[in-house]
Amino acid sequence: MKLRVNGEDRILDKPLSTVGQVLDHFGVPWVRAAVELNEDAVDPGLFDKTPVSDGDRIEIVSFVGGG
Amino acid sequence: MSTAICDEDNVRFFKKGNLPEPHELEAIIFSRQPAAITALLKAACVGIAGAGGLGSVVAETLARSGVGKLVIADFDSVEPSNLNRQRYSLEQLGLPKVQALAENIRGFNPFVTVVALQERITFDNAGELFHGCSIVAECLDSATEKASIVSGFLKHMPQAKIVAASGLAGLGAGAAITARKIFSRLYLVGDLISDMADGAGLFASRVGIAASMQSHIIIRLLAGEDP
Repeated sequence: MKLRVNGEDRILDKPLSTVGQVLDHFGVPWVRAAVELNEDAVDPGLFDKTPVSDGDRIEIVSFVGGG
Repeated sequence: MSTAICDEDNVRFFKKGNLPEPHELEAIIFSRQPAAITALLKAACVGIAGAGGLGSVVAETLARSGVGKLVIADFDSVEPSNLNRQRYSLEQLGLPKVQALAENIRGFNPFVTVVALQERITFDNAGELFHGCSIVAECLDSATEKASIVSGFLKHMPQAKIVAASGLAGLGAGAAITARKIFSRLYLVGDLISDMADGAGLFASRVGIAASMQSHIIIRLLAGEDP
C-alpha cells in the first residue's frame, strides 16, 4: 500500500484501512495528533472510522507539551 | 546627544502626563511602521487560544503592532508560577488572565479592541469562540489540548489560518525552533520534540522565541506575505 505521509511517499508492507491504524503504524498517540486526509481535517473522534485508501495524502502532527 | 532640527521639520512637545488627541497619538505610536501595513493590521481580527507563556506574548506583540481586534480565550487565573515567562505582574495574581492581558494592552495601545473570554476552549467550541477571526494562534500548554483545539480549528473554521506551536520546552538552541507550513492552512512553530513532560522546564527566552515567531507569521500573513 502506498501513502503520501507528511509530503513523503511511503510504501507500507501491510495495508492499513483507517486513519487510526496509520497513527498506530507510525507510533503517534491519538490524543496528541491532528490529521488532514487529502486536505480535509479529520475529527479526532473518528480516527478509527475514517477510511484511508491507496494513494491518499495524509498529514500528521504529533504535538508535544509546553506553552 | 544632540538632535539637529531641519527646515520644514514637524516638532511636537508633550507635557508629561498629557497625551495628545487620540488620532494623533495613534499616528505617532505607529509612525515606525509603513502606513499601508498598519492599515491592514488595524482591519484584522486575530484569535489567541490560551493566555500563558505563548499567548501573553503573542497578544502583547500583536497589540503593539496594531492588530485592530484580538479575541483572547483562557479559563485560567494568574499564578506566581506563571511569572517566570508570562507577561503579568504581582498585582495581577488571582485575576483572570484574559482580564489582566486586556488591562496590560490598554496601557500601551488603547486602540485595540480586546474580546476577553474566560472560558475553557474545546474541540467543539473552538470555532464559535473565535468566530470572525481570519487567523487563530494556538497557544495552549498541554499536548492533548493542542491537538484537539487545532483539530477543532481545522474542522470548524474552514477559512481561517492556524498558527500553532509544538516543541519549545527546555534550554535547547533557540535556532532549533523553526516555522513551517505543514497543512494547507496550518503553520507550526517549534522544534517539534522538546516536551515539557520531559522535565526540561519552560524558560521565558525559548518560549518567547516561539511566541515571537508565531506573532511574526501572523503579521506577515496579515500584511499579505506568504510565510
